[in-house]
Amino acid sequence: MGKATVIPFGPQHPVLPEPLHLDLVVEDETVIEAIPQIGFIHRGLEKLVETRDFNQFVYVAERICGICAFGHSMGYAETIERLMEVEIPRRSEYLRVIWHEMSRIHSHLLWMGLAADAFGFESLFMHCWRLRERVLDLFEATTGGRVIFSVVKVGGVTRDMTADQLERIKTTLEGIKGEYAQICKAFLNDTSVKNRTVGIGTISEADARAQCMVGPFARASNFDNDIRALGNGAYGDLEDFSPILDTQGDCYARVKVRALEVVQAIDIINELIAKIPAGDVAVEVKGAPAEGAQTSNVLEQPRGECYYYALGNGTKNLERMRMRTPTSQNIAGMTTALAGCDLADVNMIVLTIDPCISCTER
Amino acid sequence: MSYLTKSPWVIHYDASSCNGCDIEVLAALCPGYDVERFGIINTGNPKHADIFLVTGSVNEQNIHVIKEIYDQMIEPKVVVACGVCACSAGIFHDCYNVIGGVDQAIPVDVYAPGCAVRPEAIIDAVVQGLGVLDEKAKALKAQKKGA
Amino acid sequence: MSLQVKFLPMTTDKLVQCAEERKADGWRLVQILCVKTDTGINVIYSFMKDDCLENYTIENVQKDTKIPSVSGVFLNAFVFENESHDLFGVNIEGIAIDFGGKFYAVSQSEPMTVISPAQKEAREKAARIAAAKAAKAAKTEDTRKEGE
Repeated sequence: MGKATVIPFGPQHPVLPEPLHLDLVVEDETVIEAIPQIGFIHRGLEKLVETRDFNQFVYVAERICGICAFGHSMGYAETIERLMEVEIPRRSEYLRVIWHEMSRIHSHLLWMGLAADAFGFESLFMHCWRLRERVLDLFEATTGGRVIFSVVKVGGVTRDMTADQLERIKTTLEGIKGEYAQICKAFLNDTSVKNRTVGIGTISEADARAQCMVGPFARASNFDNDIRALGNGAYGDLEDFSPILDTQGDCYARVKVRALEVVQAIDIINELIAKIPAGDVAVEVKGAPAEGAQTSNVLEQPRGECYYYALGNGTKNLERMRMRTPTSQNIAGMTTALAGCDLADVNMIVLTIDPCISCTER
Repeated sequence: MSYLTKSPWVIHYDASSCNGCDIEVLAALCPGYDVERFGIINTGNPKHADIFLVTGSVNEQNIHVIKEIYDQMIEPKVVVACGVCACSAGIFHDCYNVIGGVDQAIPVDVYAPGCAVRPEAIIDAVVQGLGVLDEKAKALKAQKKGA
Repeated sequence: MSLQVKFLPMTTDKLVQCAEERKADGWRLVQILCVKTDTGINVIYSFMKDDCLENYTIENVQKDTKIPSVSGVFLNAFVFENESHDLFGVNIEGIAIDFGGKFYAVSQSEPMTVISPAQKEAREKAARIAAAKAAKAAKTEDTRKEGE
């Protein structure tokens, strides 16, 4: 029986792309407890509603997080459209979902690369990011930016996609599928990967429900909450959509859920490209949110459900804007998963919740 | 060119960034841009690193962290501020928790603007940083000779 | 089915009971947020099940009001309760993991309740313009009535 030591983990650590501090209470090599300390990315941007009007705030909302940038701008615009009861053209809804699903593909590939790096498989990390570059090329061709796109505005989107561009998206994603299948084989069938992920950091379905976890983290523990099933926007036009679930609840299950979600996203994009209606891509939004008008909205981002709240005060500046991002919901789940694991598995477990600390802290 | 600049190792830290610039820094290391062919390796240990890539507008909690990393690096060292948030806090300049760019905490040698900074700009900035590193190495050598 | 959003009132004494009922019924706690108003702080608790999103608002919370924590019922609430305390100064008792004000370690205390001088001036100017507009409208109405 060893005595307990506290090992600080982070904020600067090669496996963490973002600063997060954990105080790990360990006995020998087993982690008894993990106490998170965040606050390294808190910029206080929710207060910027006072100085930026509701149209300009889209740009701030995008920059909450570089990985989920499109998701935030889309969620924010949807919330303000709901607040001001603006109906946007169908084509712009389709375009938003196409970009959002491509965002999901790039985010999951990014995560899979980092996960591979976390368990020491560096060439797999390089392969994931190499495939991801092709998706980023698509973003650059259609929006002009690789990470931050700025194509969403309140009332629709700022640019259209031509038939050629849509065709290019389809062919590129088809082209990725073959190589992606090989990468998935490495993640899901390779013995050395399985040794690092099977049975590690298990969270039961009961715990997942009790702690209200969201996103692939929850779906890997058989908790089916996927906001895309609600059918908001163009998601409502999909033939059938069912969330990908797994019953094991360990790191392997989380890798599997995300890997399969990429394939599902490619299918969704193909379906929407085939069905996209012609028409305008934006409506002009006049006036400002009414005083006392409030609304809330949810969106399924790559990391999970994101909640938005907006309150108007009659002027062009909103009174209050709130974005609750998926990682804040999952922090409680992370602390549960870390209790009782080995010290060497800490970075793997922290990474499987797909932490996006800049989203959490805003 | 001194031997240092033939294979500079970098250390990267996210000081209150939105992550966009950080994933572009990592993208520079991956196939596509591949700076590893120039001998650049991403290390986690400040004492192994020559170039410090910082992203993000710095917030109160991060000041002492970047100062610590900077102090632990061994001379000669170069700091590259990647992204407009690191240069001047960008869109967040009037946020209550932001001090306004990395140069408010540590001295910066090269500024690479952009939101998010493109990998080409990062590579360009690192190459310029190599020039600064070379000068610092020469100055250090002259100082040692003179002493 | 599409998202249905409801806003309902709530009081501090009924809060924990409501959370327990929701949990037993299979709802999940989505988030807790605060809004600063002229008369105090509104705290909004959101619960969601399937396609229904319910937001319960506790209005006009003052500095000395103590709100019971729901982290005993929903552990994930501790993140939002610590944040409400740090950024808005809301007094919540019994948070499961209480960081005691150091969750975000911001440089200003309760920064979301601070109104900067520039902001204050802008609001006063907007209020003056609105008052002048209302007075003018009233005057035009009076003139029109006299003319009839």
